[in-house]
Amino acid sequence: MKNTAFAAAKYLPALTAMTLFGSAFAQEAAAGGDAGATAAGLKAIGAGLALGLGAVGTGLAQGPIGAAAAGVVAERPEKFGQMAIWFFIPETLVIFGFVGFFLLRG
Amino acid sequence: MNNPYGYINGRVRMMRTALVEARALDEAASTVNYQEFLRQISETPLREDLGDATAQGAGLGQLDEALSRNYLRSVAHLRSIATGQPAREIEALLLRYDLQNVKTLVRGVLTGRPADDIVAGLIPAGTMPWPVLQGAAQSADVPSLAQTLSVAGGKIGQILRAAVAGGASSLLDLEVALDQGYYRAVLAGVRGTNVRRYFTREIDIRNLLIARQLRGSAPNARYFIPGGRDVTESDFLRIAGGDNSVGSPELQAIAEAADLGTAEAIARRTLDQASRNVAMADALGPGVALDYLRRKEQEIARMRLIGRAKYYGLSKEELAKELQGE
Repeated sequence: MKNTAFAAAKYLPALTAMTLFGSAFAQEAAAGGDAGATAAGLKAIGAGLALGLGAVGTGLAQGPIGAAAAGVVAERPEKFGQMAIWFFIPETLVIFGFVGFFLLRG
Repeated sequence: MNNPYGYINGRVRMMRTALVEARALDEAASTVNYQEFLRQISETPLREDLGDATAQGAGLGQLDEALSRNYLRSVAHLRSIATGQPAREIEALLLRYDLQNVKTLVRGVLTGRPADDIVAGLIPAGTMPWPVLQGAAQSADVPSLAQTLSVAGGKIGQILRAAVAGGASSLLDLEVALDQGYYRAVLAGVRGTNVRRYFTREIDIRNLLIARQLRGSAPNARYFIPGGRDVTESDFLRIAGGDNSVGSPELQAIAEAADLGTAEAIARRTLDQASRNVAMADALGPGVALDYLRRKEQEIARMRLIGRAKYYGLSKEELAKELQGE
């Protein structure tokens, strides 16, 4: 739990930078009086966050599951199918991210 | 994030599924004779190592060899899957078997038992090479045993050497000195909170058992093992003096047990429970390996006991009593 929080904290600088730069670009566009461009920019940021965070969550979940699954399959190769199912379950996170991504881009 | 125990514990959990199930042990215990017992265990995961034990005319010697082979293979397999810090922690867990083996050697040498008898009581696990243990069993006295083990006996060998050099000569003195050194080494070797908590519980229980052993003689604080949590030095002296009250209700039953044998059986059950708890709580630590080693040790001990009972034709009731006290 603590390890996961620590790992997630590593992504905070990138997320902060993305948010700040995104806001800066949006403000720049708004200053130019282009409200449509602002909305488009914010949508793009939202889509990026939806997909990116979904992928990060998937990665965080699949790391330990993959390690444990590799251990199980090393002892019992016949368990490969069952382990693959467990391994792919966190992919739903990035799929939800994709859904958000396409909704925002659509 | 990158915890190596995810992989290691995945493997150890799979190794745990290869242990003989309780149902199979019950079936082995209910067999009518030794041949039937051999046939029964041939259907368990132990079959790979049985070899000559099931041959016509084979006796308990072959069964013991087969069980030792299986045990040694399991421990070697466990050692082979860990590297780096986890490997060091697993080595620290294996010191327990070195401790038991050195105690067996000390008892055997002090009581003048033949080398073959001593070797038969050794556990083929731990970090000491088997030939070293076999050689040490030939020692004529404890100082020469300590000398032999100080060279190739690892940490526990060095602890024995220091105890002998410090003037320990009685069995209790030597055993407590070994315990004190072992717990110092193991607590220095394992980092996980859950596993450390298990060991502090084990130290408390060991202190209770030593205190009970000392009843009737003058209580002496030098037999106290530091590092526990619920049994302090003053509690130890109080219990050794005949008092039965302990701060922890879990430990109360050990202090109040009718005799030392019953206290040891309760202690074993308490530690079994503690080891199961640590395996559940320590999914990304050495607790799973600790629990596996404990279960494997019990599986082999029970199989030996059932094998002997069937070979000598013990009744089911007698065997059940032996298994309870095991």
